[in-house]
Amino acid sequence: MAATALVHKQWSRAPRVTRRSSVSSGIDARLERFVADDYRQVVATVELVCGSLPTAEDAVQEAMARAWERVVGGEEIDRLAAWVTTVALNLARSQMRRWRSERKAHSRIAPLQRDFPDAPGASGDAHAVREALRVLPRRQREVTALRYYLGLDVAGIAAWLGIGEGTVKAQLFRARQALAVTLRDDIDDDPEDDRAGG
Amino acid sequence: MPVDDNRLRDALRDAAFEPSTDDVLGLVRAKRARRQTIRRLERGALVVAALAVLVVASLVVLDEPVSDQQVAVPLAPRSAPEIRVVDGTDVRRVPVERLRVVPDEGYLRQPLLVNDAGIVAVAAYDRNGSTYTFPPSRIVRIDPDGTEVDRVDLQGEILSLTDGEGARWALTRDKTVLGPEDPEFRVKRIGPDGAVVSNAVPPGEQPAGRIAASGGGVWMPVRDGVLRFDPASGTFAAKIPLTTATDRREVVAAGKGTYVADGLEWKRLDPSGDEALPFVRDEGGRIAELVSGAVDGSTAWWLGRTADARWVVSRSDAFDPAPPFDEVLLPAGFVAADVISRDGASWVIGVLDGTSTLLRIGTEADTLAVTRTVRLSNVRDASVAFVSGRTLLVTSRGVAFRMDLPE
Repeated sequence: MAATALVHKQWSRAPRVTRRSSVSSGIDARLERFVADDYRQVVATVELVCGSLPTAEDAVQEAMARAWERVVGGEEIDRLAAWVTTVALNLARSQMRRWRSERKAHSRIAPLQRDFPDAPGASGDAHAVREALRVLPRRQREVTALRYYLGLDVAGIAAWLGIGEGTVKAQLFRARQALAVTLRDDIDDDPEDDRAGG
Repeated sequence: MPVDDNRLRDALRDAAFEPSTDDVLGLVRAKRARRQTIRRLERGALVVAALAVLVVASLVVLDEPVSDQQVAVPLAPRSAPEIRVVDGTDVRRVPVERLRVVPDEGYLRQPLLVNDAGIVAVAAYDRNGSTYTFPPSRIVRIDPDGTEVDRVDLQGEILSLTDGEGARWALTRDKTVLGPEDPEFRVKRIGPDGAVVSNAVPPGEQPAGRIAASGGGVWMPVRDGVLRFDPASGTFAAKIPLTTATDRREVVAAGKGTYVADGLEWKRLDPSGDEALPFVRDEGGRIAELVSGAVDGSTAWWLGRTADARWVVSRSDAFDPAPPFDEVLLPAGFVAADVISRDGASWVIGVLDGTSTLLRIGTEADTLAVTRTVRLSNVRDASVAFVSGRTLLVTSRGVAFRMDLPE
């Protein structure tokens, strides 16, 4: 499934919240624009990190509700898409933490269920990458999704996640190493694909 | 080991889901409304005191001072609430004493509920820094000197407590709701043996006030009606629609009847036919929307909002109310949470200029008036209940305090 074209410029800086004296009346329109322009990408990004589409949708919608409240409360969010993505990733992270706790208890009596389903129609590399993402540490999943799906650069990822650029580079390096192993295995299993990949 | 960036990028885009955007804004609006509801219930920390006082009111000995033995350890000045009583131009500071709960049950907060034996039920959580976390949660009952009587372990955030219809009841909110089809709120029936039965509130319904158990039903007010739960099992039974949609309404038990505010009208809830029957309209006054009420003996006190968002208390005969009623307009800037009443005196609790405030409503020169103001400052996450005629129990920052108001 092809992602819609990414507009990198608006994603390049960290979200900023400032206090305003007056209440915004334009948040409805901004949210409508967000839904039209950015919603799908943001949900897909969060889903790649957390592995659950319902959780990703819920987290993004919750983040939108919080953004709405903040703006109505007098704060200004200058980059709505960035702000919503960051908050949604945090919310999804909390959810995943709870799941891990539940799994620990559940795994004592039943095998762990697969919870990273494929996108409809996904195959080949997509399947392999999704499998590989599943076992990456959370931070590596985040930087991978932000880098390769949303198209953020290292500085942008660092600003969004509130970590150093060096950390981003290190996490990306490790993630790429792990993904390379998976993709290489995939290639080895598929001679035709190996030839096509040159 | 290198991996081709473009291949990775393409694979990720191929792997990504494309979510639906159908009615996203509607779902966001619903989430926002739910958050507002939760905050409103939390902000109404003082609200819960109303029910407590209603329960304890008739059995309170007004003039009996509280024993000094109830006093526990003095608290560091910075963390204790500061209570000031304003009578006209006379301002007095009231000593505050900490009530230490034994054993320590963690962070204490609203709701508070006092029964007719003076036992206080309070929600307790694990501490998390200066605040709290859940699950788990628990309802702890303590006697007047802070000793724990019993506790009930729960999981959700405790929003409302009540006693009645042969059981204790708690309205809770789940911390995690995975989808719109999952319930967020639950009505917990706590049997006499302490056994808890959890019953889901139908998804999509959000509480607009406290639960009440009286008159043959357990009631939860919602935006456009009242939900009835079966008192024997606690399961959802029916929804009684009301005419006026609102974000705040309360169910009030008075005598054998149970009443709910619906616009300008109090309606009596009939569990047999799942109907809300007309009782009385507060016409001819300044109230544009009734919110809550309290009945004390033969006197009824109504709390309502004016058309310009001021708050009004009106007084009527409880058995034969005939408008127009006496009424008093509360100070500008005061946001009322609830009205409580006892022996001809009525208290409105709420927030004035950002400070938790109690206003006593009485009669001056044959006119209904605010006769005393009690301000609670240096509080955070506060709730309050009268445990006797003049004794207040306050929770703030997860800690319980007690104070005696002057005569």
